[in-house]
Parts: sequence; C-alpha cells; structure tokens
Amino acid sequence: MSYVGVKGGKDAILNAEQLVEYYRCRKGGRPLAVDQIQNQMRLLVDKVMSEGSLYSPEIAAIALKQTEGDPMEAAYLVRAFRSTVSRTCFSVPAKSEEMFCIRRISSSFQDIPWGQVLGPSRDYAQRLIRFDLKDEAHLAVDPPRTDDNAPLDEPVEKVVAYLRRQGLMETPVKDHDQVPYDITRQPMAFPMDRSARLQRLTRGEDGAVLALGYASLRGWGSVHPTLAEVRVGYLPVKIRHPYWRTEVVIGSVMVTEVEAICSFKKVEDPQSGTERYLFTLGYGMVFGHNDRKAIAMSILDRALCADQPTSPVEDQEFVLFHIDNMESQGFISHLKLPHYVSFQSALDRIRSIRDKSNNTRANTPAS
Amino acid sequence: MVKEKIFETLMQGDAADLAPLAARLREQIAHDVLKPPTQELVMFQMEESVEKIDFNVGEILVTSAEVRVADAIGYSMVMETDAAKALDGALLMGVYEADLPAARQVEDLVEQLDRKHRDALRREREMASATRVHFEVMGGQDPNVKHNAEEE
Repeated sequence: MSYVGVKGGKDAILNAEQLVEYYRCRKGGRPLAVDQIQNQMRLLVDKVMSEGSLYSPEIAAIALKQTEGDPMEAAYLVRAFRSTVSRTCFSVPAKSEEMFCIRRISSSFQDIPWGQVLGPSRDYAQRLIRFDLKDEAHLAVDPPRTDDNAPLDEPVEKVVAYLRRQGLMETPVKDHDQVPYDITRQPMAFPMDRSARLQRLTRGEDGAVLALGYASLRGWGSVHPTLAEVRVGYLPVKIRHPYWRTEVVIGSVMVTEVEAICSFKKVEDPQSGTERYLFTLGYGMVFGHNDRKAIAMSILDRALCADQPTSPVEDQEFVLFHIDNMESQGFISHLKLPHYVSFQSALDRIRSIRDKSNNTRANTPAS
Repeated sequence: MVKEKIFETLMQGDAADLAPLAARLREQIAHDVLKPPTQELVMFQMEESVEKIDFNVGEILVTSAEVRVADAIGYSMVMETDAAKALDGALLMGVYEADLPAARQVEDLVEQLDRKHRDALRREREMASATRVHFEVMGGQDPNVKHNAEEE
C-alpha cells in the first residue's frame, strides 16, 4: 500500500509552529542562554553532537534550545545544518594513543599503566535527587587535585598492547591504501565494509545502540565482553595545511573510546601449521562523553563481525538500519500524517469481506 | 620556533588573547582579506584499534580565513563559528609568514599562549589524578581469591 500525499492547511501549520514557540515561552522566566545549555547540559550536548554527526557544542546547544530539549529532534536539526555547510577536507586519522585522558578504567586488569582513573563519573554515586540544586545561587566548585608530574605529551599505553605482546591477541597490520567508506556520500549496501559499519554505529541513536548491545548480553547474540579499557579524553584534530602540506593541529575534540575483549577464535599459523586461540576485540568510539553508548557500540561492532549471523544483533541490516535516529523517527513519525486514501482502501476491503460474509450466511439454507 | 607550532598555538588560543595584538597590527600593517571567515566542515577520521582501519567519525564545524600580508598568505582554521578569531588568526599568521618586524610580537604571544595552554592541561591532568583508584578484590567472592580467614 503506497502513501498518497495531501496538500493544504498552510495557515494551520504556521499557527501550529507559532504555538510551539508560545508553549516554549509562556511560563516566562529568563530565556535560557545557549552557553548555559552548552556548559551545564554537557552530556546532552554530547549526545546530540554524536547522533547529529557534527562536533559543534554551540550548534548542538542551539538545537536543544530550539527543540525544547528533544535530543532526537535536535540531532535532526544538526544533521540538516551540516548538510548546508561544505566539507573542506578530511582530518589526518587520529590515533587513540594520542588522547589526553581525563578518565580511563579497565575491568579486565587491576593494575594498568597510568592507573585506573575515574575522572568525572557518577558510576559509584548514589542515585538520590539533590534538592539543593533547586536553589543553587552560583556555579562554583573547587575541583579535587593531586600532583601529577607525568609528562603531558607522553602517550598512555593501551591495555590491549599488553595482550598483544603476550601473543593473546592479533597484532593488526595497517593497510595504508585503505580508504574509509563514507555513508554520508555513498549508499548503504550489504554486507557493509567495517569502516562504514563503525561510522553508522557511532552516529546511531543512544537508546537504540544501547538496547541492541544489551540484547546481545542477554543472549540474543553471543558477545558478552570484558572491557579492556574505557577512555574519555581529548583527541587532537589534525589537518594538512593547505599551503605547507604539513600536518597541523587546529584544536581537539572530546571523545569516548572503548576496547572490549570478546570470546576466543581459533587461528592457524600457516608457517608452523599449529593452531592457537586468540581473544577477539570489539571497538566503540563516540563524540563526547558517553561510556554507555561506546560500550554498546563495541559489543555491536564485534557482533557484526560474525561470518554466519545466528541472531538479530549479528545481522548487519537489522542493526544498522534500525539504530539510525533520522530513519527510525522519520518512519515512525510518518504514521501521524494523513493516511486517508490508504485507510479508505482498508475500509473498503473490510466492508467487502463483511458483505460477502453476510451474503454467504443469508444464502445458506437453515438446517 | 617552527611555523607549525605558531599556527597550532594561535588556532587553539582563546579569542580574547589573540584580539588585542591583532587589533593593533590591523591598524599598523597593510593587508587584504582574501577569504573572509567561512564556516566549513572537516570530516574527522579515526584509526580504530582492532584492525587499524580508518573510519569517518563525523564532521567538525570550523571557520577558516585567509589574509594577505606583503607577499605572504596567512591562513587560519579554528574550531566552531568564531569569525573574529579566524580573521585575527589569519592576520597574525600573515604577519609572521611575511617575516615583518612585528613577527616577533606574534612569537611572544605564542609563547604566552603556549604556557597558558600547558598550565590548563596540567590542571586538568591533576584533577583526573585525584580520582585514581585501586579496587581491591573482596575475599570470598572471587573463587580465585582465598578468603582471609581461610588463609589463616
């Protein structure tokens, strides 16, 4: 059944838009400043940047203000905005070893290089409403500090580097000719290249990525990892200078990265003819600070590496089509549009069936 | 100081710190704005760690500008939508690249900005370090760890 378009209602639509603005403002009070949203709703801003696929705290904060705090709608606005700005270049691919970490934990090893650093985290806090925030008079908190003389530029070694040194995990070899797939410029086709899958996962809707990752843990998939590490920090944004052609840093972005150790796989060594078992790894990385989404992404990344999918979360098409905010909300929201013609057809059918049924009964001789 | 260091420090500096010197030099030095501040996107790429493949994470909103000073072109690219900072950055880069006497003032500014940047990083590192934790595995809960009472 196809959708038949409708037209008209211009005045009502414009009035409805005006009413939205009225409802946003009608309780009065001070207008929310964009910098207040940007600074005090940082996790919400991060979520919108990640799903909007655009790193710009300012634009994300404006979008949140415009949409009265609806993150899906805000991400929609952000994606629409980014489609109006031209792309000037690609960054030099960042490496997570370059990250300036503000948080780094491992659930697989107790002692890790640089230690377990909780950073800004509510993981161990009690979930109690802080009523004192109701009357907060000013924003001033003295941060805790401990002397740390470690060189600022020294990279923090990754946990998986240890496993690789032990021969318990494959050591990948960089393919310098690999060109990442770009799902914003090229159509989605299955099976998807892994670079395309990662791009699709990182901009996936937080709740959808979480739900499918959780499904895997509950047995609707086979990945239940131990986290090698969760990192939150700043990655330098490097570009190639247009005149000098050398690499230069223009700033940094905050990201969350997860490496998840998954089950074993059997690998044959072609030289010695022996077999050995190696851990597999799932990868998650998102704009902003969002442990939950990055962990769920790492589960799905590994699940989607399955050669023979045996569960929904190992099925590329199932996962990658359903986690996208724009597509899922667009299709669900279209149900609100007038379906008068298509529903008329359904009405005609059910009436016809009813009439036939009534006629059959009327023509059947009573026994 | 290498030109890349000058560029990186200016682009990451606070707009308010670039503005005074840029305003002074704007009055003193002839220049042409070749490209007014323009919003653009940079596709941020990342090398993931499982197979070392590169992938597109998402785009970053930047503002770039170009200013000609003498025979040199000063180029800038700053994060977000700060048009004034992009223009100031391009002018300062132009002055530096043209090797005018005022280039020394740009270098001085870069030294100040670099100190400020590193101080901010050091503070952030010290804040993170205050949350360093060493969890102890509780005896009796992990089958691989003997309960203290059993050890006695």
